[in-house]
Amino acid sequence: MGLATGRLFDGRSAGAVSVSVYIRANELVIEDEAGTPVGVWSLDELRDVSPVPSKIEISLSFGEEDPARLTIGDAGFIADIRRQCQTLNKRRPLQAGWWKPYAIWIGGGAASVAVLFVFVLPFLATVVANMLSDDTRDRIGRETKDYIIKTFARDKSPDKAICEGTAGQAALEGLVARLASAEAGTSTPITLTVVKSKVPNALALPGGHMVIFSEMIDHADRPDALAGVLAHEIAHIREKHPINLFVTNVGIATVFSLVLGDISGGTIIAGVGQMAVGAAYTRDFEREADSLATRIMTEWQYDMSAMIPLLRSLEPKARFMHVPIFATHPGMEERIEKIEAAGNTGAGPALGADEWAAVKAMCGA
Amino acid sequence: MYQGQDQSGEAGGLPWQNTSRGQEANSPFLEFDCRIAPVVGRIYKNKLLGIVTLGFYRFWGKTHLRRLLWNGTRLGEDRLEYHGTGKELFIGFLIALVILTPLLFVVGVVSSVLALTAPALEIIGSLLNFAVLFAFWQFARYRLWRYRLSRTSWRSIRFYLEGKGLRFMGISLLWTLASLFSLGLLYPVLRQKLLDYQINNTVFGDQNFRFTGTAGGMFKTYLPFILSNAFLLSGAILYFVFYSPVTFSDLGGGEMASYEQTAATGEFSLILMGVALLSMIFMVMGRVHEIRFMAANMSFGEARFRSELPVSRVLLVFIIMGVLTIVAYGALFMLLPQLMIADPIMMIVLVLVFFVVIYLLFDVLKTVFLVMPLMRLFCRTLYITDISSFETVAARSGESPRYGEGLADALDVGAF
Ligand SMILES: [Zn+2]
Repeated sequence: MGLATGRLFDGRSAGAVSVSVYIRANELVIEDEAGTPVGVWSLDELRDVSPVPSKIEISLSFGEEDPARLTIGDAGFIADIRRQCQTLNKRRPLQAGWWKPYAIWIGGGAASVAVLFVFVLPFLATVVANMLSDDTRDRIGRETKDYIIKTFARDKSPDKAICEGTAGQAALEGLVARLASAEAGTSTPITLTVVKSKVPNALALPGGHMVIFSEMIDHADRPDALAGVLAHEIAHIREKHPINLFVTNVGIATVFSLVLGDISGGTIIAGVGQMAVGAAYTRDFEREADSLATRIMTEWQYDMSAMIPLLRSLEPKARFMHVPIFATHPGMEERIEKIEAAGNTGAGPALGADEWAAVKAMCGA
Repeated sequence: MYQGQDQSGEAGGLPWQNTSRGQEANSPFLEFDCRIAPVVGRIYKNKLLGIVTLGFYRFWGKTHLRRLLWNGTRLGEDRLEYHGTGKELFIGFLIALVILTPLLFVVGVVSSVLALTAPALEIIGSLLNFAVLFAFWQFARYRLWRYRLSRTSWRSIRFYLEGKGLRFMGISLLWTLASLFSLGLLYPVLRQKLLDYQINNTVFGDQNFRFTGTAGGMFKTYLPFILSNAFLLSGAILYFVFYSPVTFSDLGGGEMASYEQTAATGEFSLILMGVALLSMIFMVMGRVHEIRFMAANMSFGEARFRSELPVSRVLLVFIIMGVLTIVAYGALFMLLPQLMIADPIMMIVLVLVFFVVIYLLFDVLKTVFLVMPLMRLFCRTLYITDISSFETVAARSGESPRYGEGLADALDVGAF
């Protein structure tokens, strides 16, 4: 086996030691100029430190923790050593317990994010929701509503997406005003907009803005079913849930953009993740809204149980489509049981026959 | 060859001309001979794996890229070695997540709440947000340099950065404010203070780098460019106030723009672009001269340095990059309308593919045509009196950061 010259750096100083090297059995023998051995490195432990293997120069290391480096510029010798040492460009085997720092800090990171989501965010959201002025809430609500209308209008003009029907609109506004005036209602003035859409949904937005999608009206077979939905949304408005959700979403967006870092694949996912996580009210908020709605309905002697067929008719759709409110309303069966347990809340009807016909005709269908 | 042409004309009378201590820095010091193909391959691999792993591959991807770039840099006859690992970067990121996310999060929420409560407070809120981010960024930047230097070795000996990130942040904030309030006049002092702290804290083995450049010297270095810029800007302002047929008030609400007005607006934007371009050129010239000033006032043991970084070549690199960018985006906007005509689903797919390609392409363009040429140019034009000061250094004993860049990563500081 050939003898080659190289330079050895020992990790203690940057000075080079001129050495000659040769391969003996399964070892690399390093001798200084006087012929005294200065090191015997086992070929199994030997690694090429350069990221791109080169034919004309090589820098070798011996052991993960060993700073020493041996540099050789002899093409023949490099070819030899590459042939004899198959592991030269392989990774070193992982050390025992390599996963511990990962486990500790992934756990810590997850715990920190969990604390943020479970405690800090809801707390901040409530504080902020109560801090914001009526004007600000109104502004946010109006902007969100415009955005929703624009989204559903698609290529039509936004005005076309809104259902006109003056009589129906007046009937609904009257019903909302009655429901809101209940003791469990709210003093926040409510603006109601009916939007043409195939998605059966109803939304409460910050600042007392309420949006009903036409499909929801189509699904309701009795005025009291719709009244139940409206009462539920009024309860959300009373408890300032929409602004709470809005602030939570802002917070979630912040966390996601921090966690996922730069744009490489992260940002799009952040958007999707935020939608999936942020669109839901908590189970507690929904229970609260349902129980307040029951009180409102009882006060007006409207029939809450009319909601049950409506909820059931929404269920199959809600399972397959992304419907922000009802798809994420947790435990449909639990909700229905609660409504049934409340017993008879009244006989209704919430709207007269003429009014109900006008509401049904609002979107021209 | 490459040390020629430029030094004759433009360097006359500037502060680094009077090289002292007898010995001239004439030996080559650095060489950047990194091959392009592996780097391009690596960038693509990083991007694609980054998308697949929701961005979490970036820690390992960056590490591989750095190994290539470090390995492509020769100091004397020996190459640099990068010792960092993806694991260190990842755990550094997790630590930052645990400790700093709640803090940043609260600042973020408070400022967006300020913005929501009253539009008047919105400016204060976003200023506050910006100030906090800027401060963190300065701190993170210093920690990032420390990590990178501590993971860099030459001839088996490591580099290191001493000093404190908070101190650096303080200096940076103070002098950034000063240079803002002095309308940029004190900007050279900011640059000098930062270089001073950074270089005097940089260590190879047990030996410190030294920087002796004064604020006065830096000021002289930058003065021609600051004055040219001031001259340019005031000239432009004077032109628009006194000579232009279009006054600023016209530009706002021109509901019935006449032919002359359109022509004048075209002239206006042309001049504005010219001023911006010239101003950018002055800035680049300032930076190039700063690098020369830095080299001339830097020492390591007995070794002294000299940079002959040529302004013209640096500008050429920027011009090539600018043209390539314009061509790439031009192609995008030429093709988009064509795609619009195609049927809707195909269009969405095509546009998506197109954006991904452009997004991947742009990073490659930036690396191949901007970062690497500049690096090559900088290395080739840096000279040293004698490299032996580096060869006699002993290993330093002392701590080094255990984990990686953390917060800097969360803020996405530095591409590599
Ligand atoms: Zn609800």
